Amino acid sequence: MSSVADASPAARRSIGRALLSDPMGLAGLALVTAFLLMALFAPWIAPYDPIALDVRAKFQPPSAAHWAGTDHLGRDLLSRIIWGARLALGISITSVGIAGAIGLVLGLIAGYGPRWLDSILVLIFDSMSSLPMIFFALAVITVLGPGTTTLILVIVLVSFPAYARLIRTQTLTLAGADYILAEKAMGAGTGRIIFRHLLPNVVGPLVILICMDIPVVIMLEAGLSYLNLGVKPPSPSWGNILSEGYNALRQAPYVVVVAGIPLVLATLGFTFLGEGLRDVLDPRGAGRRWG
Amino acid sequence: MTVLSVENLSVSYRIPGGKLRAVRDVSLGVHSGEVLGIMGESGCGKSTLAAAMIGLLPAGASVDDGTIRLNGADILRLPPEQQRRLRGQSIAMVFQDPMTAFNPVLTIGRQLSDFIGAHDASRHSRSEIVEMLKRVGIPDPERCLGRYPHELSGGMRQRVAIAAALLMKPDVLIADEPTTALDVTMEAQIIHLLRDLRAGFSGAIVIVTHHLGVIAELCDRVAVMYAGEVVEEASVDALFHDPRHPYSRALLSCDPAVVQPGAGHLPTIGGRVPDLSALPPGCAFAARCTFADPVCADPVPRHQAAGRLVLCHRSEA
Repeated sequence: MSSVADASPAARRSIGRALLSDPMGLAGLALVTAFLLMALFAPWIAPYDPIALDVRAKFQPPSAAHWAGTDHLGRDLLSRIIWGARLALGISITSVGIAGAIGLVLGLIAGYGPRWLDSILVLIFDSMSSLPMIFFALAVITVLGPGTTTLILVIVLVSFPAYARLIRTQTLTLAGADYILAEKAMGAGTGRIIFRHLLPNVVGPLVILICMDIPVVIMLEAGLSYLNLGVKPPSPSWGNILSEGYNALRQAPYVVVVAGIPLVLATLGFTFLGEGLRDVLDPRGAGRRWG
Repeated sequence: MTVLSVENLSVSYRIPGGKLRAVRDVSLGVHSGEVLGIMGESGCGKSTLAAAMIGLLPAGASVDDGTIRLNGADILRLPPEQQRRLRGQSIAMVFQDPMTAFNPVLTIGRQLSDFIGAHDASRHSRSEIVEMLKRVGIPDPERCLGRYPHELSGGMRQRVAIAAALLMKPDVLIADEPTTALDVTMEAQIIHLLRDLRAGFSGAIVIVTHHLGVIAELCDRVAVMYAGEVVEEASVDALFHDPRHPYSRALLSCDPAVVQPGAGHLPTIGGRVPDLSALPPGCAFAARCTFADPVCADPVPRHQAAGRLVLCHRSEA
């Protein structure tokens, strides 16, 4: 089978099975699920209010009352990290989702539409992706001011060209397939060919790429927040916690450690899941098990 | 009644530094109930002609001249949307390789009902599809509907492809090398199937092939193509018993089925098809022809008589 992804129900079941039988994929899935649950149920899981100040309890090392300790304003770090998961995942999933949708549509248009439109779109994709990410982000933030919306906008702008190019390449390959010609010979219109035949065949690789991109976005969000260019304090972004912890590194070194752990785990989780999905979905992958 | 007629059709491919003339001044017609075979070796323009008939020329190819009429309508000059609506409904095609003719991610039933849906979304299609699958000899058609293409064998898939093409009861069915990708047993089965289907099919069939057996078994009339031209057109009996064009003669003498056992070797036609972007003047076959003489470099006369057409200096129709 030459297509990359198989969207049939039977195949989906076997994708699930293959993913679960792969230790790396399983670890990724478990970590990602844990973070998703943490983000979804933050208000119920977090033991304290993440922004409630208690200056008398500042810089307490981890204890039974504060499992992860407290920061320079006496806020409970565990609660801040749990709420931080909501911010990190919310921002990254939203922005990557929007970028993925834009990339999918533009990629299909470029790959299946008229040549001149393809040339224009490719020019746009290429010029967008030639901009260095951090500098572009700084420029947009300077113009629009820091904040969650700006952050999402920046991420969408820097990541959609890669998705669009992936989809475009896939579409170009598929558009030449015999069954697309057979469909045309049976009188199928453009809409039917795109939505019924091209779309299911191109989403697989996009899902993999998006999954691999989420940790990059989480890191970008944390990085910009660390520089005070992302989420505004006192919102409990992991980047903010790190930044505040860094200022108090001598007094309370555990703050940085505690804020770094979820960042590392989330990055690993999404990367493992992406790798696992790729092994399962992409027949050309080295770890081919299905296809 | 002539359902599909091609008049003075020329198709060429743009290539760097010139034009590749794949189809040159071809005129053909088929009427309902008739089976027309288009025969010739690889690279002589058969498939390009078939693609032009259904309006799906590959990128880079364009019609330079001529008309194609389907039920009297000049399809080359119809707007694309109307052309699309004719495909599948009035004219349908069976492709060479049944292994790649179906979308791997959709079930057979889904794809077949899609074909109907592309033309008439309101039609309730399941029983029609089952009926058609039964007609092309699919055992247990109900179960076949739920299967994915890879679960069927090549022969079965070609049957399904034929069923798909016949689903909308088209006026013209074009089969482009329908048996070439199949093994010998399957080929024989598909030939039998097509012959059986002829009885219940009122439309015209155009079969493109280089297989003489397919022509002999199925066709009423044959057009022999060489280097983009129809060099001879005749009824199957006339062509097989009395080929007039030297190329037709050469082709027929190369058929393994007619070679005497113990002949030691299989006859071949020496040389190769001329470069279609730089054709010689006069007869394109002259360089390979055993009867060639200097007159063959002059424009070739068309001998037309009694339902036969021959393009040759040296042979009277």
